[in-house]
Amino acid sequence: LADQPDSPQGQDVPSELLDLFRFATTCLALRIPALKVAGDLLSGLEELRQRGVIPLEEMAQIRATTSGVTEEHIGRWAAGFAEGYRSAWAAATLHVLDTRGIEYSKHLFRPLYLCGDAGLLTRFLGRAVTASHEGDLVVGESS
Amino acid sequence: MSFVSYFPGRGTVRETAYLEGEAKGEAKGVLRVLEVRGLAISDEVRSRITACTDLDRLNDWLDRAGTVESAEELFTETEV
Repeated sequence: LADQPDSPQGQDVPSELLDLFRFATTCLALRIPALKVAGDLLSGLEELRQRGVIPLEEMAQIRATTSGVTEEHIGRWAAGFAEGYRSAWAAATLHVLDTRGIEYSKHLFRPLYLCGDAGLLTRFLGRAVTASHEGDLVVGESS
Repeated sequence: MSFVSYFPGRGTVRETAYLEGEAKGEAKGVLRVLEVRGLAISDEVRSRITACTDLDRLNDWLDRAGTVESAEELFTETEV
């Protein structure tokens, strides 16, 4: 990771992320199938993202690096991945409200789809599962 | 007759990554809904959802993730 062009030479890398990489490297050394190790690594990255340890953009950057994207394309690939990911979570939030029969105004669409904060979208989706009206999505968030 | 789009950006690195991010994001969204509902998610279920890249199927799972009584139940009706 410290070798990546946009990576802060290791000193700012969260310890949990380093532990995840160490674990994956150890698993490979123990000859655990690479596909299994890769799957666990990606799940671990997502868990760290959902817990706010690493931002979505960093997760996308690591995914790009580990999935063989050439160096010149890593930035664009990571940006596209993060954009698609946020879009899916915005859509999922509305989808869950729809399936639960919770009405919401059209004014929710724009801020949701333009939201660049994946952590916020994660909380919105979680709240959509139990919300009884649109306003419950933003309870506890500063406006 | 097939439809061919010449829209700028189609097939680019960014678009390809966007579609992959969309599928991965939706898969994780399905898992998130199951988790928030407190349902147990086995490694097998997690792998199966995470590996899916079919947006229609993921949409169907997302539809039902809010009402199924177990995570495994997601797969029963789509395998008819």
